[in-house]
Amino acid sequence: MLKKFSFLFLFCTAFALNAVLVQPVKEIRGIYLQETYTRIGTLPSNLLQAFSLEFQGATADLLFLQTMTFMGYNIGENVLPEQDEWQLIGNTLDRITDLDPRFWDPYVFAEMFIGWQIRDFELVNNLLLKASKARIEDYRPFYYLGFNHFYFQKNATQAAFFLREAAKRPRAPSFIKALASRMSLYGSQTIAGIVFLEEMISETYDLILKQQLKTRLTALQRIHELEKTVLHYRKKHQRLPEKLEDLIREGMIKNIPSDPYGGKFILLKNGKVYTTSDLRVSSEKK
Amino acid sequence: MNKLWSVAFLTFKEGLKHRILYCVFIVALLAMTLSVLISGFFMRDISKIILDFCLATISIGGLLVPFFLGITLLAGDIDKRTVVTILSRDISRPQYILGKYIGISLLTGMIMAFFFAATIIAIQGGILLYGEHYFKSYSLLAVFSSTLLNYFGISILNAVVVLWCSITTTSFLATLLTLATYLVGHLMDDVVRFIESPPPGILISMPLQKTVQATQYIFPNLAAFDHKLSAAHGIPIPFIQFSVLTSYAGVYIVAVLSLSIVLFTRRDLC
Repeated sequence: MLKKFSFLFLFCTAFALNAVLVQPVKEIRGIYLQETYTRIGTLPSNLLQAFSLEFQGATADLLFLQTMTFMGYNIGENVLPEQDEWQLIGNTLDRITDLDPRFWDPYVFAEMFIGWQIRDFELVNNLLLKASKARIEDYRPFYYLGFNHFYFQKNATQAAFFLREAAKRPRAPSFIKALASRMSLYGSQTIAGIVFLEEMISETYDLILKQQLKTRLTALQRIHELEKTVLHYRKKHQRLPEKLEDLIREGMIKNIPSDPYGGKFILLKNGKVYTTSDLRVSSEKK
Repeated sequence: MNKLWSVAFLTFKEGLKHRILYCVFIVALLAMTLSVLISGFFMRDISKIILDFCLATISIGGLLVPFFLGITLLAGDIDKRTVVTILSRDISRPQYILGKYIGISLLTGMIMAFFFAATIIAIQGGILLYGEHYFKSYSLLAVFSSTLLNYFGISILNAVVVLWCSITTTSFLATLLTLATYLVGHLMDDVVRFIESPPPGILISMPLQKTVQATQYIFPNLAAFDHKLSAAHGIPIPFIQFSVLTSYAGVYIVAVLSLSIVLFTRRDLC
C-alpha cells in the first residue's frame, strides 16, 4: 500500500516539476528556433525533395508553419529579422515552393513581408514568376507582379504587361483590365494599393496577418483621402496647398489623420501625400 | 478457390486482432482532427493543408500493413511453423501465398477506406469551421483517385512483402528488404532521370548508367503512384494516366506474386 502511494506521490511531484519546467524549456526552444530554421534554409532543394519521399505536401506545410512561427516569434519580440535572416526566409520560401509549387500561401507571405517590408523585389518577383508557371489557372501571380512593378518599382510599362497577362487568366476580375490601362497615371497608385490590399484581405483567413493588412489599408485610405482633399483645394484655389495644415485652415479637414505606422503625413510638391514611416513596421532591429 | 478465400479471410481476421491497428486508428483520427485545427494557422490554402495532412495519414495508415502487419502475418507463420499446419490441411502453396496476399490487401483496403472516410469528415469539419470560401479547389474525385492510386502503390509493396517473406528466414530481414524496396521505389525515378540527363560538367560512367537504368525494370516505381500534391490542389489525374498506372500495378503485382509462388513452392519449410 505504502509502495503504491509512494509511486503516486512520485508521479505527482514529477508532474508538478514538469509543469514548472514547461516555460524554461519553451524559452530554450525559442533561442534555438532561429538556429533550427537557419539549417532548413540552407538545405539543397533536391535533397529536401528526396528526404520528403511521398510526403512533399505535408513537408512544405510544416516548413511554412515553421517560417510563420519564426516570423511570429520576431513580431512577438518586437524585433525585425536582420538582412541575412530575410535572405534565409527567402531561401526557405524558395524550398517550400520547390516542394509544392502550387502552394499559394508562401507567395503571399513573400509579397507581404519581403515585398512590403524590406522591398527585395528581385526575390519576390522570382517567386511570383514561379507561381505564374505552376498556377496556370490563377490570375494572382501576374496581378501581384504587375502591382509590384507599378507601385514599388515605378515601372508602368512592365506593370501593364503583367496586368494584361493576369487579365487573360480564367476568372480574372474585370477591374484588372481597367487597372492595366490606367497604369501610366501616377494618380492611380494609391488606389491600386487600396484595391490590392482589399483583395488580399478578402482572401486571407489568418487573423494576425489580416490585422496587419488592415492597418496598411487604413494608412493608404488616409493617404487617399488627403490626396483627394488636396485636389479639391487645387480646384478651388488654382494652386496646391503649401502643407497639409492649410487644409485644416480652409476647413476642408478637421485634423491631419494619424499614420498607423507611427509616421507623419507630409505633402509633396507634386500634390501627393507621403508618410515618414514609408508604411513599414518601425520595430527595433536586433 | 474456397480455400484461397479461407486463407484470405483468416489473414484479414488475424490482422484485425492486432492492437497496433487500434492505436494507429486513434492516432490517425487525432492527426486528422488536428489537421483541421492547424490549417487555421495558415493564410489561405486551408483545404490544401487539411488534405496534405489527411492524405499523408491515409498513406501512413496504409504503409502500416506492409511494414508491420503484413510481415507479422506472413513471416510469423513461417517463424512459428504455423504454415506447416495450414499447408497440411489440403491447401496448396500457391493458394496459401495468394490467400495471404489477398488478406493483407483487404486489410490495407479497409484501413485506407476508413481513413478516406475520416478525410471527407475532416474536410466537412473544415468547411463548417472556416467557411466554403477556402474550399473552392476541393475535388472529391481528385482525392478519391489519389487515394486509389496510393492503394495500388501499397498493394505493390504488399506483393513485395510476400516475395521477401517467401525467400527470407527472419521477419527482421523481410522488414529491411521491404524498407529498401520502398525507398528505392520512391527515389529511383529521380535518380534515373538525373543519370539520363546529368547537369553540364558531370560525367557518369557507362556501367553505373546501365546499372541504374536496369534498376527501373526490377524495382517498382512507387513515386508514380503519389498524386497527393495534385489532389490537395483539387486536380484529378487524367483517366488515361490513371489507367496506365493501374495496369502497371496489376502487371507488377502478378509478376511478383508469380515469382513468390515459384520460390515458395521450392522452399523447404521443415
